[in-house]
Amino acid sequence: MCQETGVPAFLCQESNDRRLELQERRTLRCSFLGEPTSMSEKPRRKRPITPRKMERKLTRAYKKAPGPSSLAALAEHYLRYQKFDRARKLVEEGLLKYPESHKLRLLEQRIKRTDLYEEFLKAGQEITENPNPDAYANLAALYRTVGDIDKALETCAAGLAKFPNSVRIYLNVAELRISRYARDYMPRDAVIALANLEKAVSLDDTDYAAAILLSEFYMAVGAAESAIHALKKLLVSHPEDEHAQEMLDKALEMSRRDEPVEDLVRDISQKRRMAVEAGLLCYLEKCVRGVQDGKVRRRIDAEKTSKALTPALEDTGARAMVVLNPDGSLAAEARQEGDPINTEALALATREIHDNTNDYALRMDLGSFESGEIEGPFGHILVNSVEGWLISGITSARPSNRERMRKRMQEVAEDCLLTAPVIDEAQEEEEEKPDADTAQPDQGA
Amino acid sequence: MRDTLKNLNQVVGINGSMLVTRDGMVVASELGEGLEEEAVAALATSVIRTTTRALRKINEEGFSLFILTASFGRLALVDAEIAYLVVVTERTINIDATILEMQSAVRRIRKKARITLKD
Repeated sequence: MCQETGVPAFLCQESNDRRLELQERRTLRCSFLGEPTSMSEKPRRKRPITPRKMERKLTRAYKKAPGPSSLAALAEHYLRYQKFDRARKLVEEGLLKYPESHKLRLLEQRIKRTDLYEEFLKAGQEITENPNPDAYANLAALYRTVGDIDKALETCAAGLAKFPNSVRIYLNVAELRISRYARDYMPRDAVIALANLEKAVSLDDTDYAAAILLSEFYMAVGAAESAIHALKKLLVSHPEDEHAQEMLDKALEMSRRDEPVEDLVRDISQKRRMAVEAGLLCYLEKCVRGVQDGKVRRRIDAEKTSKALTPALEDTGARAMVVLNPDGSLAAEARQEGDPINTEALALATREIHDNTNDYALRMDLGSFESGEIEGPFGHILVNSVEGWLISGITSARPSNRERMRKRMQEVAEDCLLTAPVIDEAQEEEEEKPDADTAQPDQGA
Repeated sequence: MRDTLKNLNQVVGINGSMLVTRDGMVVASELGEGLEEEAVAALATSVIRTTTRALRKINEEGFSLFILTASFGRLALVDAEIAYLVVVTERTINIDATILEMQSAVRRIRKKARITLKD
């Protein structure tokens, strides 16, 4: 019975409308959070496992083999049953232990999205009902908060298509690109950020946020003359602004070269690239001398990794799999019994493909090499780069094998490479010293 | 050839495509904004040479498809007999679905090349 009209619920138009609206909201929520929208989409089981049993099973699995994969599975279980606090705590702890885990990062994004679900919904509704530049900027800001910069840029692009003269959206795009440039040093990001800032200032030269960011950008890349010009303009509309005045003084002091800003940005990227190359050379030099660089090196367990590769071979039907150290040496290998393939040759081929392709991909602004898949009459070769290590495998041409191989490689990376203990050089030295001390009395005796 | 490349570029996530011979000659090119023809051709040629050389080390000859995934994009090379079809795509696309489109374009290119050779 409908409580308001008193007629049976299925006859009441209002009740039906309310039910449909609720259904629609649920579907929208599920598609947003990536959950199944209806019961029919859930996998059918003959004997359904209760959530508590599943939790116990996943906890046992995590305790037995602690790693990002098992931790992510448990956190995902909590999320599925809406135990957000537990999932959040687990993911936070996991990220402290395994900061490089891609799975945990994705879960973190998902939790943040769930937290901000209502706000996302409101921002989306505002865009549909009353589209305005602020609505697009708000949605982009939300995406930025959850760490999805690509989606934030997409939202800004959609906003600019509707409001091509919105200063706030241009400013948002510039901020997003600058933050990405600070992270990745891709010159294209900085150049686009600059173009957006200049457009924002040309649309409204009294906008303080845009003008000050543009001046800071010029100063950061060393374009003193352009900064002076922008700051003088800003001081006309904001004559009492102390920060702008200070910056103007600094810019006047700089009075350095003033080349086109785009060239200066490229120059910075070039310098960074040279620094990276110089760092790599130092690293190689130290490797040659037998002293390895850095305190965050990890020592992978070759035996454990080889053991992890063996079931992967059986599962994917691969002929051979190899893991290469960052210095190019072979760390672990596994191959099918009786297969004539030479794993050392596969390692050499893997290294050659990675090094050359990575170099050109960087030059083309595509970013650094993540993975490569080669198909030919021999089947498939998959190469994955994980924090400097390379995992490579050669398998038959079946697409299902290729898909399994991708998954297995990810698992090997998460369980054997990223969780490998960090080498503490100081401790190593201390461990070596007592040996030397104990050796001396023996010699004396 | 250009029409085929133009049609291929209509697929969501594809930023540009070109046909490059093994020695780096550009047969046709339809690249999007921000992609330099010379840079893409150089990368493609380098990938073809290096990969062929690397495959010889494990006693294998040639490849028909290479998909490179980098931090900000993907690059796919498909063997089209007369040349390699090079496709630059977004990082986030479902590459398995896009490969079908690329293979269809390669079939059209091969067909056109055969007709031209017969004439």
